[in-house]
Amino acid sequence: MYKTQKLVQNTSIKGASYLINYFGRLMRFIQYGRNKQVLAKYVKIKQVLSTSLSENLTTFREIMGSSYDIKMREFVIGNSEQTKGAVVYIEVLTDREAINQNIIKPLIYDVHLYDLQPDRIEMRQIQNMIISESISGITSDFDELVEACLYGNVLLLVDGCQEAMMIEAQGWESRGIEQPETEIVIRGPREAFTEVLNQNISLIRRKVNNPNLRLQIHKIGRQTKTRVCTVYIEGIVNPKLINEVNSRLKGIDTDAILESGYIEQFIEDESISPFPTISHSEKPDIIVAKILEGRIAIVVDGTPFVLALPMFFVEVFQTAEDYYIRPFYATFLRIIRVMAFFLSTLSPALYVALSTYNQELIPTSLIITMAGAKQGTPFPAVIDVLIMVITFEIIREAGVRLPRAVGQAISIVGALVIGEEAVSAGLVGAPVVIVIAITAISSFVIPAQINIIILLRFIYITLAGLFGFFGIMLGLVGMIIHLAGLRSFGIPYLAPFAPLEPQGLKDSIVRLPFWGIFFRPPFLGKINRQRRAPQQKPQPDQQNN
Amino acid sequence: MEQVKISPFQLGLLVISIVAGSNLAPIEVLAKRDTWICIIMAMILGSIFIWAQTTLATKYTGKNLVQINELIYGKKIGIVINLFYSWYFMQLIALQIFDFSEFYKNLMLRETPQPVIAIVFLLLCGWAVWKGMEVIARCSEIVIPIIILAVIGTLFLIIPNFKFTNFLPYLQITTTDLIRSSSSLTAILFGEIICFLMIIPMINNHTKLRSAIFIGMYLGGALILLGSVYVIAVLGNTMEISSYPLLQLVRLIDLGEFFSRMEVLVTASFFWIIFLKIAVIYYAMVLNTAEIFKLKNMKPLIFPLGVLGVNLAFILFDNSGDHYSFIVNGYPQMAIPYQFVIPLISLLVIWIRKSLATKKEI
Amino acid sequence: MVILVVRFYQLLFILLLLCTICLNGCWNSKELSDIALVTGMGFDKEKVDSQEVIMTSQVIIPKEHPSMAGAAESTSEENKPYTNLTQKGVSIFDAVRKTNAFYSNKQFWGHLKTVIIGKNAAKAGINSYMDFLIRDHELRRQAYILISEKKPETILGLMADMELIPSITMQGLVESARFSGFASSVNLQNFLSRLMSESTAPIAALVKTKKHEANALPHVYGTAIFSKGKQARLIGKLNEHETRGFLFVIGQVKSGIVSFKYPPTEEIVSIELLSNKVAIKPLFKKKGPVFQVTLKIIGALGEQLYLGDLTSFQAKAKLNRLFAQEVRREVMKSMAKAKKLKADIYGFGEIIYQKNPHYWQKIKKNWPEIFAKSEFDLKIKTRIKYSGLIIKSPISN
Repeated sequence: MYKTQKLVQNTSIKGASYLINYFGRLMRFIQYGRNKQVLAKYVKIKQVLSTSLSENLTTFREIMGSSYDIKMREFVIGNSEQTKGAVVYIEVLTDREAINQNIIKPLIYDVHLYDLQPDRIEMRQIQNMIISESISGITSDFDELVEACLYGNVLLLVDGCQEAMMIEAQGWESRGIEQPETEIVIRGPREAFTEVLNQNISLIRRKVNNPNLRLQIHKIGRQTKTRVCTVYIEGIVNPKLINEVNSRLKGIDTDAILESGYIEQFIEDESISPFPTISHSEKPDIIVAKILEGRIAIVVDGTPFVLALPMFFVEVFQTAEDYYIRPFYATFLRIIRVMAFFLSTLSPALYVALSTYNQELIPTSLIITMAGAKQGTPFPAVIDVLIMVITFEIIREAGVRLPRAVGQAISIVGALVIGEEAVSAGLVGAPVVIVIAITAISSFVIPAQINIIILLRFIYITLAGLFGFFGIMLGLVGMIIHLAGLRSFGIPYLAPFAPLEPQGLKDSIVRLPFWGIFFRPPFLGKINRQRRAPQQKPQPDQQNN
Repeated sequence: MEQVKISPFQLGLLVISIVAGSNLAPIEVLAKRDTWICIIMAMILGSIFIWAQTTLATKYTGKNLVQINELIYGKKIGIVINLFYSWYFMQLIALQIFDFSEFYKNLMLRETPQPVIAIVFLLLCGWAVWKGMEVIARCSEIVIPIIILAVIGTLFLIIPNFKFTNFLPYLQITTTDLIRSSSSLTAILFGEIICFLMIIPMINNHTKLRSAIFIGMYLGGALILLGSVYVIAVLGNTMEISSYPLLQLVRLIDLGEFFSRMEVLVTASFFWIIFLKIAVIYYAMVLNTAEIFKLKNMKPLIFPLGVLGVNLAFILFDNSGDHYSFIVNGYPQMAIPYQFVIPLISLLVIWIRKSLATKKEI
Repeated sequence: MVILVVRFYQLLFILLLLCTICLNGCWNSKELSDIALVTGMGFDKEKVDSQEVIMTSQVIIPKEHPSMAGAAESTSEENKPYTNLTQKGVSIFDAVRKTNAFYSNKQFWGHLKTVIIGKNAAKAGINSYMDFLIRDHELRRQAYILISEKKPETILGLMADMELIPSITMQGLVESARFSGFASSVNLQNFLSRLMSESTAPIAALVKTKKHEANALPHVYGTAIFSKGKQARLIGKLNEHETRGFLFVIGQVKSGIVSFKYPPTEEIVSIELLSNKVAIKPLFKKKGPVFQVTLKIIGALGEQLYLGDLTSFQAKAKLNRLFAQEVRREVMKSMAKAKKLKADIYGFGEIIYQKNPHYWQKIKKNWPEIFAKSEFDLKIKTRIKYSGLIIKSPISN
């Protein structure tokens, strides 16, 4: 007896310890991933320019490989045979005309106009007298030179000189400033950002004629070295916020930054939450308005979407157009957006709860119709609703991916026809199709926040299917708890509602006229609170009436 | 523990939620038409209770109940008293859990086992407590204005059914019943503010403490008074047999074809207010226990104490009849020592010590 | 090692939590196709002293409802949108559960519109059967109570007209009784309130059948009066005019036509009732209470068959006088009947209790007799407005 007991004990301990070990390894795997490699390093080039031109050119060939677009043009400076020079540039990134006219031509033809000794030419002289383009700098560090060349600069090397000049002669094809694709307004400017950093900054600069507008460049991404620029107005922004954002940007250690979404996901406060804590926009007037409120904008090279942080929850319901149209109508539109948000997230769940758990809450004539529609359908209401929601999302996604001419027609026809036929075939009931139609149309009122709406919708449907109306209340309370605990760069997400700031309420769900709002939003404008003078309400002239 | 700060406005709103989140059905069965008189008397008595509690808090600014008890009574007796308070808070939670799970079970979720409703709700409250007092305070700022709007909205909808003659004759209630219901009401509505003594140190402006709590108490009392006035005016003599008079009241709203079936509003408001109330009491309970044992972090205690609370709720009561008779007969006797007597004794001890100290100087 | 154990148990806990939420099932979900929507209910007994109660519930069949696509154009016997389920049982709840033996869907009471009580059950006493209607959590108290001479099943099977379901039709009829004042509309809440009061007698409306084009329609009229006591038994009725007289005193006549003969030609003049206000003042005398009832009635000239001028000063005064007389006649008739039945349908006992509880304690025991003997001091003030599109009758000589 004792022996078997001991045997059982031993095996069970072994089994349990094996299981625990296995689960431990599983957890570690989930957390850290199988690879323990470090990111591929960007190898720093430790060399320095030598005085021999041919050596430098050979080194450049070694570093940058033999791609066809890396051009090295050698020439002779002046009309003597002694001083050779070369320009190294990447053909697809530079403006050929500018190189010919402003760099090579003066060096070949105009040197003799100046009092330059052809055999002892300094880079300074060339910079001061000959080159008429702007200069990024003069250096002898290969690392900087290669980086500059890859960004579109032209490198000027002179035989006998240990320094090279980086000349800015960028020219590449870009889209040009067009109308925004995602944020369409009826009244308001229609410019949108493009993929070129400088164009975006120029759009911002044109709107803010303020010497206090500061730009700070970071180069993030080991392989891509994407240029990321933070824009803010000094004197309005909280300095702590700037430091925080800069430190977070410096802490990003990744291969590539291809879009501002990457940056958003690296520096945001709560990544698990479906609610965004950093807002983004394609239009410069929105971004400039946010900068003027005390926020920081982050412009990323290569994408027209510019980030603006921190963000409040009420910004989900605000658009730029609200400020250009009359205040009453703007308030009405904002309230409609809030209602649409709640309709879109709650309608399917309410349908499930009311038809499955709480039938006494529906008026009698409606419930007769609903019950009649439900007869003969095979699935419970929850499954009906889930099927229709997923079907609709598939149709919508398909419509987005199709070419534009075909896409609109397919999605509308597809949705209607599928809905109609599903009802005729007896798969789902007619009220379900209507509920889904309401849901879908309401979700297009605030298209940018579709990710919140989808996730919340599914959570609410599940809860409603389990507990009915009680479940929906659980979901609502859970959402409010989650929102109340979110902070966006130190600012409570639900300001100005909680903690209550009456001044901030003037521009939240309602929009009071401009002459009534004097202060910047709460928590942002602590340094420089007032932005409008009081008593500006337009009134008729007192004397002439 | 955690270094959060609440503003006095948020504290006032939390007080409103604690006061307004009580189910008065047992008292209404007892006091019938004169419930409103009992409520007014309870507000007067309650002012005395809360005066005692807030004086205790202001004498030791920045310290919560556990620390105050230890300072006054010394370490040994202090720990005993604090353990008793811990037990009292646990009972409070158990009472509330049973109350609301009974409500939802009888009304909407008949076949669901009652513990399931309680557990799911308590998971939600536990999550809020995990996030901290700041989150609970911000939730209250969003929720309570909506609830007040709902209560006033119901007023307008139910006015056609009012019959003011239902209030007559006045004061038919016997004096013993009056005292019983008033004391019961004070213990239920206003005495539970003792758990705020655990949260008071987090306020960011100690001078406004008293006014915040008193204003919250009176506003909450006004809401309760309004509710019971509606019930008496509309239901009249049928209010004695209803388990949930407010619900019956709202069911009778039938203006036009549109404003019927509005008990959704009542169940939803009830949910919000009970959630806030239980979150606050839960937080106070966990903080209390953590402070007694001098823990650095109170978060590990949230789940076990919640489990204990739910179990206690279903051990204590079998059905709502039990629950109602306990509230009227047993609860005041159990609660008033904690809510009033012990703070009063603490104040006396402080006063005696101070006068002895001044005597010694002389 | 400890961290591994802790992580394992965390994972286990989360999995168990998810399991409990997903596997427990939704106990309370009742699909719309599984519930039977009950809009009307009736209960009766075979004989006045039998123990069992026969319950009929009217359940809607949504597919046959003409508002649904695919239902028949006109309803006939085969595709009625409703069905009546009849079952015997020792109590109503018992009978309800027994219907599940032959009808699969569980009955859902949230949309109950009318409750019809048969004559035998009403005479036997209905207090005990009210418990089911009040205790159930799905039932709302807006259902109307009707007492019928015939069996409830017959009434619930009557051919309905605009609304296709008889119980909904009857709800509409009770609600439109306010246009005439000839029936009292009592819902569960009012009935319960009267049942629970110490002095007021419960009332309900009556329903009978009326022939209409080879069909029978439900016809709602009058008031049924119940007694107080251990069981509320049906003791009497008020016909249409008596009901209106009774409703005058309560102040619930919202609209209606009072017609009387105008001397000297004895032709009819009809006054449309616009508003009805009442003030009751009890005087507590030693031999019994005296009630001063002051009625203020505002009417408008609705129709005159009398071919004469009614706009002159004397005519107006005479009209008012005759109007008041007619109202008084109706009120006195109803009061006489109530006194004969010794049933305080007006709520005067409550008024005494509210104004003077001390006095009430003394006369509480013999209230039916005291009510029957008490005096009523009736004052009627009337006012007739002349509204309408014509100033005076076109054919007046």
